[in-house]
Formats: sequence, C-alpha cells, structure tokens
Amino acid sequence: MSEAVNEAALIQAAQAGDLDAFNRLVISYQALAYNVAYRLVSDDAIAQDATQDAFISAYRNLDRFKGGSFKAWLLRIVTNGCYDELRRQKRRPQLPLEPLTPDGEDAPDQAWMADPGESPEELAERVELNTAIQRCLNQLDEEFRAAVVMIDVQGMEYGEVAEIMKRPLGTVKSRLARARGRMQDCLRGFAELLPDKFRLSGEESP
Amino acid sequence: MSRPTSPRDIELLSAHLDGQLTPGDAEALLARLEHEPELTAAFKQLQRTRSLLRRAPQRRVPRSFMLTAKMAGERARGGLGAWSGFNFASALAALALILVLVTDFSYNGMPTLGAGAAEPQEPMLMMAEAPVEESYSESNSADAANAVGAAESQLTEEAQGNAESDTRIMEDPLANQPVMKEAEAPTLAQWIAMNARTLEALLVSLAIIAGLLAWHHRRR
Repeated sequence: MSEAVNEAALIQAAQAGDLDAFNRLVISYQALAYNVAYRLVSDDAIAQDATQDAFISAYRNLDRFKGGSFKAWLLRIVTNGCYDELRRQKRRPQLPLEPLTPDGEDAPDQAWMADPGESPEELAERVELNTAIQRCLNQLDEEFRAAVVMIDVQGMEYGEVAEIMKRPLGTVKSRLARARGRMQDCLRGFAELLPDKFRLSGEESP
Repeated sequence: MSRPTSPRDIELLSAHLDGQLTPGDAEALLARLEHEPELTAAFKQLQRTRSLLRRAPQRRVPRSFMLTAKMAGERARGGLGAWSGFNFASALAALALILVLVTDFSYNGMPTLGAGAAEPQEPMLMMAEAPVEESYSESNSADAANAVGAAESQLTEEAQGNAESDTRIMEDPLANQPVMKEAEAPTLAQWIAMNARTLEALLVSLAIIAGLLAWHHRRR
C-alpha cells in the first residue's frame, strides 16, 4: 500500500519535472523492462536500446499517464517498441552480430548469467535452459511471445498483461494457452540438450 | 473414454493452472481429470512447461537506464521544444490558411475589394427609392383630382406628408446602413479593403513559411 502511495508521489513529482523522482521509477522497473525487452527481441543491444528508448518516451509522455498501473503503462511502451523493432527486422533481415561457435551455433552468452556461488555445471545447465527457452520463444508470434514472457517468465498477473497488450482477458488466456502448447512442443525438441531435471518427456512427470 | 487434448481443453488446463477458471468450470474440469488419463497427462505436461519457463534465468541489467540531465534536457528541447515548435508552426500555418480563405471569401464574394463597401449598397438604395417614386406619383395624381376643394387639398397635403414620412421611414434603415458601417469600423475596414491583396499575399507567404517550418521539424 505504502509502495503504491510512494509510486504515485514519484509519478506526480516526475510529472512536475522532477528528474530524480522519475529516475527512482526507472530503478524500480529497469530490470523488468530490460528482461521483457530481451525476451521479446532476443538481442542484448537491441533490448538495451528498446529499454532506454522506452524510459525516454515515458518521461516525454508522462503527462499522458492519467493514473492506473504505471507498470502496465511503461511495459506497453516497452513492448510496442519491441514489436516495432521486430517488424523492422522482418523488413530488413540482418546477420546476427553475436559470435558463432565453430559449428555455426550462436555462442552462449554466459557472462551475464554468471552467479557467484554457482557451480560450473549449474551455470552450464542454466545456459542450456536459457538457450532452449529463447529459441522456442523466438518461434512464437509476437503477441504469443509477449504473453508467455510476461506471465510465465516474469510471473505477471493476467489482468496486468491484458492491460499492457490492450486485449480482453479471454484473448490473453487463449494466447497464453496456445503459446504454452507450442513452447511445450518446442522444448521437447531440446530433450537431449537439457539436463534431466529440465527435460519435458512425453511421459508423465512428477 | 479419454480423447486427444483439444485446443479448447489446453485452454481450460492452462487457465486452471493459474487458477483462472470459475469455480463451476474448475469443478467440471477436475471431474474430467479424474476420469481422463490423457487429459491428466496433458495437464501435468503443461504444468511442467510452465515450471520450466518460470525457471528461465533473469538477465542482469547490463547498465543503468536512468535518464541523465542531458537526456532530460534533450527532452525539453528535442521533445517538448521540437513538438511545441512543430505545433506552433502547424497552428500558424492553419491560422494563416484560414485567414487567407476568410479574406478571399469575404472580398471575392463581394465583387471588388476597394469599392466592396460601397457597391452592395446601390441595389439596396434603389430598392429604397422605388416606393418613394410610387408615393410621389400617387400624391401627384391626388393633387390633380383635388383641385376642387381646399379641404380635399388639405387631405392631399396630409397624404403627401404621410407619403413623405413613409418614404423617410422606408429610407431610414437602409440609408442609415452604410453610415452605421462606417461608424462601427471606419478606418480598419477601409484599410483592410485597400490592402487586401497585399495582406492576402502576406498570409499566403506566412502559411508557406509555417508549413515549411513544420515539415522541417517533422523531418528532424
């Protein structure tokens, strides 16, 4: 409750031109905004640009925020920016800048995932899992991807996601269900690559 | 008898997984899950998929996305500044265009600009004069008929007087009109009328400049 009040006060101050207040909002939401952007565009540099642009755009258009969920409002700006980027990529496909392994696969970017106290095996597992999930996400259409990313990966509420996507709750439910089904099929294809505990076999799992 | 999981069932299972079904739907689904092993297997698979997705590692934020004073400054100039400039230019162009159209309509609607204030009054004056002649001719004929008696000529004089006063009454509103116009906006209207072409050219130039300015801002 007090967080909501505090956020409302920060928004009000930011609307009045207080940049520090706005930057406190940025600190609160930058991890979520960046992670959503990264999962949607699957590229670190583009995700960073999309996140930064979203915050600048939010600051510029703060007067248009008329209340409600600031998080949803902000993430709508982030996702719209990412959709624009995805459409741009479709129009002008480019070769990935990320280094490739000798067998032509994308080199797993491990540095950002390194977690002190984690064993190399655990890190390898997480990298494998991350790669599998990202590749499967990339096969989904943008709105299906957004639903899975926000609800399953980021653990957001259906209502928030419906607000972000500007879709009825029923549409979000049905897109999420179909996206989960496709993710399930896709992740099965990675069964051999994933550690046992992450495998999705055809059999029932406990 | 169990059946293959349909998209509708997947949707139900997915919503049930997140507790999004109504109590009635949830109850019905639970009853089915007890008797349909394939549906149960599909539910467990979906559960595991969601669990896997929830374990997707969060990417650490590579840098701060806080806005610097420079970015905020750019907002003021590049954002609001440019927009206000753009809006001002657009508004100016629109205003100039409206003025051109209004000027054009007002003065071209009335035949000429310089004499525009006087010319439309002529037909009105003519209309005002017409009844005057009629009343005079009526009064002249009354004079001829009334040569016999003074009483009658008195009546004629009265009639003449009435006719003249009628004429004045009819003339007054129309005859006063140009006088009223001159009294209300004498110098400005005349000045505008005299310089209408120059003003129009000026407004067109202003509209073009403002339009170019707006276009330049948009391109930036």
